[in-house]
Amino acid sequence: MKVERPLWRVAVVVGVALAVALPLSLVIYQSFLSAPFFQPTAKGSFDAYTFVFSDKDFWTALRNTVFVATGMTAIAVPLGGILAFLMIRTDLPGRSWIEPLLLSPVFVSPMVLAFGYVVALGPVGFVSLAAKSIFGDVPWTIYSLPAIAVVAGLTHIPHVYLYASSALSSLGSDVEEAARVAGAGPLTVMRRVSLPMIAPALLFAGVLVFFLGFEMFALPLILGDPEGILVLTSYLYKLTNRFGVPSYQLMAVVVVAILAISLPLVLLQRRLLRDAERYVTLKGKGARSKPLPLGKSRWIAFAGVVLWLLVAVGIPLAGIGLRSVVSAWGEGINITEVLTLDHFYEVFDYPPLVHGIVNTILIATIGGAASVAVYALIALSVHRWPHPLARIVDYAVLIPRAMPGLIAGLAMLWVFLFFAPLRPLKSTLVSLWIAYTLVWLAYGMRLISASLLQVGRELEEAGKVAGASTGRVNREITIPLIRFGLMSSWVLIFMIFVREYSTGIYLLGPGTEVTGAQLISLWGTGAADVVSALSVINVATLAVGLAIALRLGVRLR
Amino acid sequence: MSDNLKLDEVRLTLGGNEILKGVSFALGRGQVLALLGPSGSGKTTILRAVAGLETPDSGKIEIDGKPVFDGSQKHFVPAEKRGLGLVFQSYALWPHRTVNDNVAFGLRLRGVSKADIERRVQTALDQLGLGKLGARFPHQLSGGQQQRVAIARALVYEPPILLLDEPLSNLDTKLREEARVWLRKLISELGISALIVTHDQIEAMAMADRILLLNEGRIEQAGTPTEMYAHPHTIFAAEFMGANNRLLGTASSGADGRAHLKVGGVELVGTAQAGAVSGDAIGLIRVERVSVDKAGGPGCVEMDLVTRMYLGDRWEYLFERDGLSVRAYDAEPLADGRHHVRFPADSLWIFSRPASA
Repeated sequence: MKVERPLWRVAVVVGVALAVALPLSLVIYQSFLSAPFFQPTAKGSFDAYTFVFSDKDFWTALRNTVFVATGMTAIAVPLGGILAFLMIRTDLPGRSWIEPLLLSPVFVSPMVLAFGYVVALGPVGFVSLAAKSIFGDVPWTIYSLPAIAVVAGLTHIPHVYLYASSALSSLGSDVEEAARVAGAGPLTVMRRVSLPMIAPALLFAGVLVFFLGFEMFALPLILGDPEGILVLTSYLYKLTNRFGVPSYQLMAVVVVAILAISLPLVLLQRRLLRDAERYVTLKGKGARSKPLPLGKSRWIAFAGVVLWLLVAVGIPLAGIGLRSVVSAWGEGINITEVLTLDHFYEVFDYPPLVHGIVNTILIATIGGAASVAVYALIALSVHRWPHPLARIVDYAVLIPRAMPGLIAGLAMLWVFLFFAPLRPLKSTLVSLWIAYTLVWLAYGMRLISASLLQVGRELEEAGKVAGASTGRVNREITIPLIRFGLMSSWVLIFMIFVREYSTGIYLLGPGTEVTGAQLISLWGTGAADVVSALSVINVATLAVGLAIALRLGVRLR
Repeated sequence: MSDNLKLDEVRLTLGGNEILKGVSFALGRGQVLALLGPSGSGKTTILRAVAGLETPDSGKIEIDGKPVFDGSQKHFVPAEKRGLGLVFQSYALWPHRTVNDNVAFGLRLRGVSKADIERRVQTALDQLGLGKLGARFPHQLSGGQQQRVAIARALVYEPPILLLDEPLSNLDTKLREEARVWLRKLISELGISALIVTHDQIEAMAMADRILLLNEGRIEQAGTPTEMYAHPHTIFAAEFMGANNRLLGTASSGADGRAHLKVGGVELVGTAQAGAVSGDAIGLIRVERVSVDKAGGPGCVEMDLVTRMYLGDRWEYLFERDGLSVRAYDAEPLADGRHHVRFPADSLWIFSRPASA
C-alpha cells in the first residue's frame, strides 16, 4: 500500500526544491558563459574557468583560506573542549554568569568584532597605544594571516563549546568517577576520559569550524585587506570591482569553486552529527553528580576563561564603544578632550543609514516572523510523512547551508535580474527577505524540527482518531503545542537577521539598505567614526533581542 | 450483519519486519474482545491498523459492514474518517487544552452546536465521575483521572467501537484492580463494542468476553476466558495463561488419551495434548491444581518440602524429589519433611517438546 501524497505537501516540497535549485543552477550556468548572462554577446565557454584557475591570486587566496581554516580549527577545538569540561564537570567559579557570556561571540556580528579588533589592537588602537607607552613599541600586529587565524579561532570557541558541552552533559559521569577513584587528577580525567569520550562531538565541531573558516568573510576582509591578504570570499568580493565592469562569469567560477569545497564539508557534517548523536545516546546514563573539585587550580582556570572572554569579546566591543564617542584618535590625544556624540548625530542625519537601521529592525522583526512561518510550513509539510519526497527537503536545505551569505546574496541578485517578472522586487526589502530566509533555511528548519520532535506522536494521532484532518490537527494540536518553540525561533532568527551582513552586500541599493551590508561598504571608505557608531547601534539592537530572549527563557543553543 | 468489526487475512510490514502475518477475527456487537500477547506479538499493531494509524499491506478490515481497508482494491479510509474512539496507553491528553476542551474536540469536529457540546461533555464527565474537573488542565489531574478523561474523550461522540491500548498499564497496582472492575462495568452498561490490548492475562480474562491470544503476528488461540484457561490448544497458550509448573521429561502414550511422563526418577500420569505423545515432552500443570493430600493415593507422589513462602491468603511451597521439582499452594502451614503431592491426571497436560524448548 502506498503512502498518501497530499497536494499541499508536494507543493511545499517542490517550492523548496525550486527555491534552492534556481539560484544554484543559475550560478553554474553563468560560470560556463563568456560574459554576464544579460549581455547578448554571452556564449558558452570555459574561458572563465581558465582565467580564474590561472590567476595566481586565486591560488594564494585558496592557500590562505586553508591556512586560516586549519589554524582556527586547531585553536577552537581544544580550547572549546576544555571550556566545556570546565563548565559542565568542574567547580569552576562563576559558571552561572559565564554561561550567557560564552555565547555572545556567536550572536555579535563577526564584522563588528573585526572592527573592534582594528580600533583596539590595530596599529593605532586603544590597547596598542597603551602597550606602546609601556613597551615603547606595539608587540603585535593584527594585519597578518596568523593573527586572522588566532582571532577567528578565539571567536569560534563557543561553536565547539555548544556541541562539546551538550555531549558532555548527556554523558554519565560514572566513567569519570571511576577514573578518579582509580587515582586520576582533574587534568588526567579530562585528557584521558572526558574528552576522548566526546571525540565524535569534537570531530563534528572541528569540521564545522573548518567549514566556517571557508565561509568567513568580514574578519579576513577587514584584518587582511590592509596588507592585501585575500581569502576565497574576499577574493570573490574584490573580483566584483576588479575590471570596472561586472565580471559575473568569473565570480560564478569562484562560487562554484567554494561550493565544491563547502558542499562535501556540509555532507560530512551531517553524517558526523548523526554519528555523534548515536554515540551519545548509547553511553548516556544521565546521572547527576557532584562537580569535580579543581582545588586551587580552579582560580587559574577561571583567570584563563576571563582572559579569553576579554580578548574575544571584551576588548573589541570596548574598542568599538570607545571609538564611537571620540572625535579623533591617535598618539598624544587626551581622551577627555575628544569625547563627543557627534558620530551618532551623523548617523541619524544621513537618511540612507536611518533607512538601514529601520530596515534592519523591520526585516528582523516582521521578516523574522515571516521566515519562521515559512520554516514552520516546510517543517510541517514533511512532519510524519514517510514518503520519499520528504527526503528531498532534507537534502535541499543543505545546499543553501553550503553557500556563504555573500554567495547566496549574489545568486539571489542574479535570480532577480534573470527572471523579468521578479525584477520589480529587486529594489524592495522582499528580495532581501527571500535571500535571508534562504540562507538561514537549514538553521531555521533545525529550530522548528527540534520543537516538533518534542510533540508526542500519540497527541497528533489522538486528534486524527477523533476525526480531525491533518490540517486541523496541525492548527489545533501541533502548532499550539510548539508555540513556545516558534516564539524562541523568532527571537533567535531576529538576532541572526540583525547581525547578518554578507547576504545583503550584493543586494544593497536604495530601498534595500540594511546596517550590516552598509557597514562593509562604509568600512571601504575609511569612515571609522560612523562605522563605530553604527556598530554600537547594531550591537545595542542585538542586546535588546538577547535581553528579550533571556527574559522569555529561550534556550540559546 | 451483527459483526461490528471484521478483519480478514490482514498482513502488515513495518520497517522490513512482518508484524502481522495474516490475522482474521470478528468482533460482535456489544462484545468485549481482548488482544492478548507478549510484547512484539503484534497486538498494538492490530489496534492501530483498525484505528487507521497503520496501513496494512494486504487483507481486509470492515467496520459495521463497510470496508475501511481493502488491500486488493487499494481502498483505505484514513483514521479521521473511521469515527472510532481510541484510548492511548499514554492517554495522549492534549496538554494545552482543559479537560472540557479535550473531551469537546471530537464533537466540535462533528459540527455539534455549542449548547449540545456543553451538555454532552458534562454528561460524559458525570458518567465517569469527573463532574467538577472540566476546567482543569491534564497536568492538574491524577493518573486515574487522566485515564478517565481519555476514556470520556473517546466515548463522547458515541463511536461504534471503543479501542483501548493497555488502558490500565499506567496505573499503580491497587488503582489498576479498581479500574478494571469499573471499566468492565462501564462498558457493559453502555453496551458498546470494545477492543482491548493487554499483555496481562488476568486483565484480559477479567474484562473480555472473548480473548484473542497472539504469538508473533499470528492468532495462537481464540476463545472465552474459561476456554482459554481450561483448554489451551498449544504449549504457548497453556504457558501464557496462569501460573504454571513446567516439567521437562520423556513421554510414552497410554490408554484413553492418557500419557505417562517420566521426569527424573518419577513417573506421572497426565493428558496427552494434540493426540498421542511420545519422546521428549513438556508437562504443564497450573500451580493451583497441584495439591497436598494427607492420605495419598493414585496420582500422588511423595516429595520433600524444600521451601515455603507465606503469601497472606495462602502458602506457596516448593517440593522436590529425584529431579522433579514443583510449586503448589495450600491454605494450611505444612510441617517439614515428606508429603503426598497430588497431580490430577486431567490437569497435567503433556505436550510433545518442540525442537527449541
